[in-house]
Amino acid sequence: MDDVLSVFDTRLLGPMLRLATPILLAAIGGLYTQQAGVLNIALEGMMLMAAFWAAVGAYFFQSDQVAQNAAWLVTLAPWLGLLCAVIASTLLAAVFGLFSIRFGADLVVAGIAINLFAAGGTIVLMQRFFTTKGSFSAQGRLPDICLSFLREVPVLGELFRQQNILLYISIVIVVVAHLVLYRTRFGLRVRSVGENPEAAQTAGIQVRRIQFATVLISGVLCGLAGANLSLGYLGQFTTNMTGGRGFIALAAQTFGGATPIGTALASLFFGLADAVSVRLQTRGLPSQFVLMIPYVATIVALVLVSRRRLFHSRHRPSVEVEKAEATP
Amino acid sequence: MRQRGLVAEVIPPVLSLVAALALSGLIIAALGSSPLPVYKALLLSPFESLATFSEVLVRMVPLLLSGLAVAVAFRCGVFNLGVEGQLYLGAFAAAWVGFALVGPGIVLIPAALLFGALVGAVYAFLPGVLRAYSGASEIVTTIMLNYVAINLTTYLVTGPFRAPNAATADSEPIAATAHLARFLPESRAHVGLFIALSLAVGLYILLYQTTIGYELRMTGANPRFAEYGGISVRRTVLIAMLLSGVLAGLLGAIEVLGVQYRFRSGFSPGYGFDGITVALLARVEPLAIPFAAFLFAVLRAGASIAAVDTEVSREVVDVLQAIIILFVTAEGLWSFVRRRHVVAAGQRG
Amino acid sequence: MRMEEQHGADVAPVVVMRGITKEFPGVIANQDARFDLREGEVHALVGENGAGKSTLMKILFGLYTPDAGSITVGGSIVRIESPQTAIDLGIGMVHQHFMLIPSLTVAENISLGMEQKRGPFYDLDAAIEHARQLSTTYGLRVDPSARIRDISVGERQRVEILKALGRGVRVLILDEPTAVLTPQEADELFHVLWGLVRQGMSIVLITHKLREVMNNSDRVTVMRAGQYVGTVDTAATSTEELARMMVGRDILLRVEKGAAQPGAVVLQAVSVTTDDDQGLPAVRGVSFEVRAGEIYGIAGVEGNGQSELLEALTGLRKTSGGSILLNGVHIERASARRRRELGMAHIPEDRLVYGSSESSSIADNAVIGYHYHPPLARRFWLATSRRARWALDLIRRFDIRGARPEAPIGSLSGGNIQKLILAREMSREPTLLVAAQPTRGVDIGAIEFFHRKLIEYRDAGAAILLVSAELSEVLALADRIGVMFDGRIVAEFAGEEATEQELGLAMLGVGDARRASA
Repeated sequence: MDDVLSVFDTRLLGPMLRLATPILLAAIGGLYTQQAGVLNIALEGMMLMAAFWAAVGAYFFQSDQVAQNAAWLVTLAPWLGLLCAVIASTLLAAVFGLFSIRFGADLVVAGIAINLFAAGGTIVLMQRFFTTKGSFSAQGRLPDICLSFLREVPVLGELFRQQNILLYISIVIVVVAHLVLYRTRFGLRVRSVGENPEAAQTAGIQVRRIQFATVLISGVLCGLAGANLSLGYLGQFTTNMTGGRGFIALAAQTFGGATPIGTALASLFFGLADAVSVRLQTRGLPSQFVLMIPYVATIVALVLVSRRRLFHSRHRPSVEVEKAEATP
Repeated sequence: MRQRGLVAEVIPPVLSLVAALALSGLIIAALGSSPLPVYKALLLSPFESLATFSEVLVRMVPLLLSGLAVAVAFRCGVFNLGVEGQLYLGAFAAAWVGFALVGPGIVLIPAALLFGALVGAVYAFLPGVLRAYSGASEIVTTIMLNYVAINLTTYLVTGPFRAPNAATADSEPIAATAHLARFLPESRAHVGLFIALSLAVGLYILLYQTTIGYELRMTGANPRFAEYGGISVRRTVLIAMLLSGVLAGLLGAIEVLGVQYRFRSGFSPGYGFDGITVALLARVEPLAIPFAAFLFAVLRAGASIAAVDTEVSREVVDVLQAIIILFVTAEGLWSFVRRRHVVAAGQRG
Repeated sequence: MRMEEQHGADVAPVVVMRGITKEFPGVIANQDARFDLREGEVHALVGENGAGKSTLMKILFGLYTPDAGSITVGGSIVRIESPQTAIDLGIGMVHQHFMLIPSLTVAENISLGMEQKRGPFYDLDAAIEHARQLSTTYGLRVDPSARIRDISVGERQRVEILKALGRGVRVLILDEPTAVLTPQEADELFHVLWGLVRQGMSIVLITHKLREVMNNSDRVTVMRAGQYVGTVDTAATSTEELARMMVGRDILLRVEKGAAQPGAVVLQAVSVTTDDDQGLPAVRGVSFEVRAGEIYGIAGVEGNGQSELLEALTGLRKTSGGSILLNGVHIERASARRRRELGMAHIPEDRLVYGSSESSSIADNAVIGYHYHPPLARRFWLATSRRARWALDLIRRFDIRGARPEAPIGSLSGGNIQKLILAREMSREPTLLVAAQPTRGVDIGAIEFFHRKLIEYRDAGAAILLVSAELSEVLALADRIGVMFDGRIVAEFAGEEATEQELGLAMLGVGDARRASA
């Protein structure tokens, strides 16, 4: 028992934040679409595509070719990788939005297609560019930002040790998401579209356009999330490196009660599960069991939050297909 | 059968296929390869010899079973994205029967298949229960359970059940008596194909000729109508998930008994997800699923050949599948076909 | 029967609709319908449920696009493609089911779609100020900072009206605005509406309450079965004339029926309580009984707990208290299937949501509830050929034209779908038939057919529970009538003694004279 508890100490905090960041970024993306009534299964694929293009971008902009022609770009390589990630992921989001919102494909099915496209597409491209199917190095990564004044502070020091810029960006994004959703005209419209699309439509709001906009936002945020996976710490892309994080992000958004702050807290929980999993691998436990932790934690969290909601709506017939429907 | 008329049923999938092939051709060209040799390898090379064609038959089995597993859940309005995890557990269960027990094939084979089906069903039952009684979305839970199943089976064959001198994480080989018979000379094509085909017919009969199938279809078509008609939606959803798990477990078991002869960790290249495309392309009709499975088996076999002959890797089929799904399900794209058809069918009011 | 009046041609029409046709899958909602609206009038649009009034106005508001016809607003022909276009043309609509966002405040709802900004942010203060201003200008009291989900139905309606007025509309359409109001609230509403008219606004009032029309309109347009019947001056007409125009002939709803021969108690409800979807009490202790050979009618303004009571009786909603007995057996905890097996059949309120599965075949739809019984099934096997014959038999006996067992039920008209449901529910000769809004949105001919069938079935000894929002229907069919108000049965009448007036008072919760029935 002591052994189990000894896993939890302040040194978990840094990894927790680090591992929570990509989940959080994607989850906020999912939150925007959810608030507009669009169930976004495609987070996983958009993140994966982004992770790939981030690494490709970083790799390309510091290749000899670029160095000879425009040397100044080389120092910007990781940032350009980040940009590539955002563009790729947003394009994929646009395809998702086009087929589901515009052409009326089932949201879940279209999401599955996007995920499949990303899983297959990244391998095809990796094989083409790098003649490998396993992983390739980006030859660089996003810089860490050390807040030196915090280094000696006991807990905060652990928290913010070796964190890259995307952590700080994600904190800003949570605050911005809160402001956008609850303080801006756009946010008001998003929430009204999600809550009662017909009413929004009669108020003169273009429902599909709002939904499409949130899908694009989720694309941008998944771009950052994916870049964080490949360029954040590892500096490399690995086949299927998202490993279900898009779905965990979806669960984080649900678990967090569909608010930005709640989603952030839920993401921290999943980050912790991830960190514990990483930590336990060094303790001689079979790695496969340890690797299950984040997934099991996700199921448990979903069951907890769903039971609560079910209790509130216990008068409805038991099961209905959950589909956030775009209005005609 | 659902009545929408053959024309309206068939045209969208065919157009989708053509559109998807054209679009992926563009992608291949953009990557600097010539699409024509790739098309040729994908679509024609599997028919060049009996050896290559028999590989199509081998690959068709898991695609067909996975398509059926996805379809039975779909028809009841549930998304079983966990076929992948269920087939891994089913495969391990069947392999365990094969290497831990001894006996004649007549006993071992049915025992392995049944145990595989049972374990797959139990594993599908879990997200079914969570969905029916706690309301947790099966979409997320089944995906999460895939990772759990893959890790669990990998643990089993790296730890307790690892073959003593295997280089990779494999179980011990199963007893030779448990191998499924092969039916073509010099090839891996095995009788699992006939099991799978009869299951397709079986699912058709189940859906359209039995009360359970009726309740399943009504629940999928309109759950509130079903509830009104005295059908327990919860119970029916659970049955659909169980049936889906049985088919997924059988898939794993048949792969072990017919092709792998042992449990290898990570042996499935994503059969569970291929089933989604197969089922959708077949418009979730059991008797159309073998045709869709055959088509994808051709593409998969062709892709392996293409990967050797051209610089395009075989995952290009995943991309192709994704595009097909998008086109097949985008009702808005094909509405012109439907509208024309509805007008032609006339008689309303 | 054209009653287009001649005088007053000097007042320019603000809206002219001509030849409007709109078809939905299975229903022709409007056929060659027309409508004129003059400046500064209250124009009542009346007709029975399903006559196509709401559809016609939703077309004017841009929610539906017509299949044919023209719309002229302010003298020029327009295409109204969305509510936004309608609003730009100065047309606003207050819907029967309020188009409000429950979690947002009154001010936010009013400003939605035309929000003001301050810097990058939504200007909440401006929205509140705007709402307050509108509220005082038009004399409609609301609290701008209250959330919609916390305020009363009457207040919500005021918010809806302000929402339209805030967009500067000159034409205001109100769809059944008094359906959810108490009499006092209704009076107050009409007071406000006349105030708007004095300011030059034109108002369309969709309703089927004729008394309301007589007191609160300048002109009346009558619709029947999707078609235009006529337009008359309110001052020059009477409720009788309007009623005749609405139903098409005088004798309708005078169903030939003999006296009931009540037998043993079949259904007994004792202090039944249940909650609505939000978990709030909807049925607060309802007791009544239905005997064999009689029709027990439940009347009431919609939303007074009738739907929840029905769902509780038929097993689609859990009861929170009380007991229900069917032929002496406690069924309050029984499943819907068990209740059917004990002899209950149910024509549900919403035929497309509960009563049928649109994409499934007519045969599939014809057997639900009995699909696992012989002769339709043997053990686990469906008797496919017998099932088809069964469906054909129902189609023939109930004269459902154009129906083939293998065709999807969505290819039938609403009336024919309802016929199939009735046929199915009567096919196993239940001892209790629960019929909710059996003729809603059904054409006149079919209504008579349904009424005849129900009476025949009563005379054959069945117990029938009839719930209808149509007072005339309840009056015509029921042998005893219970009136529901606020989750309770507040009065009970013997069918032949009840008058529309007495029932109406009871429905408003005022006449609380509970009479013993025969």
